[in-house]
Amino acid sequence: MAEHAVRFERADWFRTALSSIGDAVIVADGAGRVAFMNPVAEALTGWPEAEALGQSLPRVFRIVNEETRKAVDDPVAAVLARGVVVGLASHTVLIDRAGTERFVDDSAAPIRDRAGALVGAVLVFRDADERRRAERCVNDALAYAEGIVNTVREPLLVLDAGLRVRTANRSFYRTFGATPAETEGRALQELGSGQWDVPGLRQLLEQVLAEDGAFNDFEVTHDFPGIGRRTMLLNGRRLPRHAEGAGLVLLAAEDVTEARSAAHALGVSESRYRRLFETAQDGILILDAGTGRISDANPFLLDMLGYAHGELAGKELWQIGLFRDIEASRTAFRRLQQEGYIRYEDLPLQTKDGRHLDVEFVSNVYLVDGRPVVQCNIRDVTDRKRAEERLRQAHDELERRVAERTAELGRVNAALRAEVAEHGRAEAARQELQLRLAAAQEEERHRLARELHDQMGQHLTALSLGLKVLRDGEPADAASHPRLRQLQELTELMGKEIHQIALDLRPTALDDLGLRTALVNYAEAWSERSRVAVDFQSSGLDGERLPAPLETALYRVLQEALTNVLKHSQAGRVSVVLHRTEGQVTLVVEDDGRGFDAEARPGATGGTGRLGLLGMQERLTLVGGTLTVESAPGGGASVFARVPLPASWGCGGD
Amino acid sequence: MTKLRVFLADDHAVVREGLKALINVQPDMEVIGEAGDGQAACEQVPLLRPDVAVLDVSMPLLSGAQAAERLKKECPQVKVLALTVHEDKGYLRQLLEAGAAGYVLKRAAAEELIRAIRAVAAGGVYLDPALAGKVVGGFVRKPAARDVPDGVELSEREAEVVRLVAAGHSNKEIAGRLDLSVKTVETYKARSLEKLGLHSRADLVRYALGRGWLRDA
Repeated sequence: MAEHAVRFERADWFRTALSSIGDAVIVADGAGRVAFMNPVAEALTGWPEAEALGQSLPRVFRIVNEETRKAVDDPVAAVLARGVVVGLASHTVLIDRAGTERFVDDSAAPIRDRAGALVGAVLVFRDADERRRAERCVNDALAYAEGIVNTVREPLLVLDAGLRVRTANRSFYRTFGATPAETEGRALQELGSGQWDVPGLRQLLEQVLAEDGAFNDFEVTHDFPGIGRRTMLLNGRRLPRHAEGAGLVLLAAEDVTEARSAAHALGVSESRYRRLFETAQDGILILDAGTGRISDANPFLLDMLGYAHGELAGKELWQIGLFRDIEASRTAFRRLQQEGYIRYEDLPLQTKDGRHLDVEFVSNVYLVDGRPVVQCNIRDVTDRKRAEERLRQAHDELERRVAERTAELGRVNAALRAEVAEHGRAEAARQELQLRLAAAQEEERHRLARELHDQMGQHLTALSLGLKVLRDGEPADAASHPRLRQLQELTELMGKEIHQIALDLRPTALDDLGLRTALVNYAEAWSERSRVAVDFQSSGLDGERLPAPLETALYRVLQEALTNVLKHSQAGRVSVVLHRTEGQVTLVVEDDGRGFDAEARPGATGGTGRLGLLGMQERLTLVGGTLTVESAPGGGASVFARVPLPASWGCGGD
Repeated sequence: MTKLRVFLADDHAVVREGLKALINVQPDMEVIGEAGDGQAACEQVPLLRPDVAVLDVSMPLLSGAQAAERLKKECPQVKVLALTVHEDKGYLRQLLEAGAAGYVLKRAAAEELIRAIRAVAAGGVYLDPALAGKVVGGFVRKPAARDVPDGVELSEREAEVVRLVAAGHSNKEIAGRLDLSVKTVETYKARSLEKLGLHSRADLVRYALGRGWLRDA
């Protein structure tokens, strides 16, 4: 029974060993019932070994999946069923007898007898709660850090001790247009087009790594592919990594391109303003808006007012005798403080040496570093005012002269008008005179014609009759008979001539029978003499008598026109048309002769024909009429004489 | 035999004497009364009832024409012979209308008066040969509308031009009114004259009057 003793011995030895190890151990028999528990297992399950022995294992060792809360397969059953070592699934939670849960790591292994038959299983497990909690903390911290890193706007890189990229944040990829594949695991100086291969940076980074330090605001300006020339400020920090020895470096980049250019612009603007201030050709005064004290004055203003900078700086505006009316100035200043703006077109100022200046004064209040400041722009308008005054005087003088000249012109104009009126009167008088002269001439002719007819004609008739009687009393063969006959014929000839003279002087028919009959008679007589056919037609005239001067004028026009026809036209036919329309009488004398150039100016061709036209014109003008001549060489000639009828004259008929 | 009884009226005494002598030497006529003005003539003629009254046309108070008109009414059987210095047809017509049977020019009286007295006394009409030609014809055409060939139609433009020519307008005025050139107006006028078979402006006026385009004279 030595073998049995060994076995027992060995069993005690195992028991002792199992009881003293730090992991929990449960031994189950071939039926899956608890055969042994060490103290750690008792502690973790809450079951004393004495109570647990003989219990089925799942009752003592209750395990569930952490997430699903479902019972996990009994590892011992699995071992007994399959005869292999079974590792416990992760996330396994052990619920002890009191209901307390804890993570456990475990594994189960088969127990075989010498023959290799499966006689039981041993379950080894340990409390994994501590580890799991630590893992969770690490995970949470990682997530937290990652969240921050990815939320940060600035591009961030994490480099390892060899300056290879461990990781980069989203901003980095976005900013530089890179992908994780071409970034992670690469050396910093290999990234992109080598923009990070900056000697100074490398040195800095290595220093950071070595000394567990940091650097700030390392400026890199570079033409980055895709995003152009940018200026970056880089900050570096060593991330302590005790486990990894050399540790990591966090490299953050800040794009300061815009800020740089804005700062630059601000600087430029400031220096520009200063230059303006120094060189402006207007006076500029800067006041403290609160106190009204002068804080600055530009050289032009100092020059204008004759003060040194020191004499003005720190003084109140009204202390220096600039303004005549100090109280008004204070009031104005208060207004400026309230309204932020004040303007004077024309403000009298006094210089240090007492000269008087007229200035245009504009003040604005604005903030400089949060403090209200007054800027006064002061422009000397003395010269301008003087120039304006001179201009105004010159203007007034000009106005005065223009007025004088206008008045003078007015007088001259009036004189001219009077002269013109005088001329008009003279012309009217001349016409009146001419009309009277023409009337007198007609009257005289009329008288002469009558005289010739009535006196000379009568006497000749008497003479002729006497001679006839004498001759009839004589025998035909008497010597005196032929003489008497000759005398009588002579007398008759004289009678004819006298009649012709009288007719030419003034046709009695015009007075006795009216214009139309007189025209017809004249045309007939002319036709007879000239052997040129005359075609007379009138319209609108019912044997009506027209004003005597008008009748005479038209009669004379016909005489003149027919004389011209005879002299110049070689016409075969003449139309004489007399129209009486409302308010006007028209006489047309139209021939079919050789015509002439009616457009040529009267007098240009000279000759009696022209004079004849002028004569007609003159006669018509006297009665307010007009003469129109229409002719072209070879196309005959038409003379239109138009005379207006007096308004009182009726329209046709008697 | 009965002599022709002649009454003489002339304001000119010497002429009257001459006329009287001329008449009285004729064996077949005698002057039975005379007057120096128309008024006196009109008073005496109805009383004396001569065969022929020789009246000077131009007399004071009552002209020969007026006297002739009155005598024509009061004693139409008395033949009135007008004696005048006027050779105008107008006077002649006036006297003939007034009822004078004859018209003798004074300058021709010595030769023509006796013949004229005989002619009117015999119931005829006597016109001085110097005037007779004018009455029957002469060169002045009578103002009677010419016959226009049938079926002649003027275009609207031609009619417009004819109307304006007939109304006394110059070619230039017509051109201005109708917005045509003067040449075109001349062409229209010439073409119209040719179409109508007319020759002168006066013809066109008569044509227009005939158409009622103008107010008649």
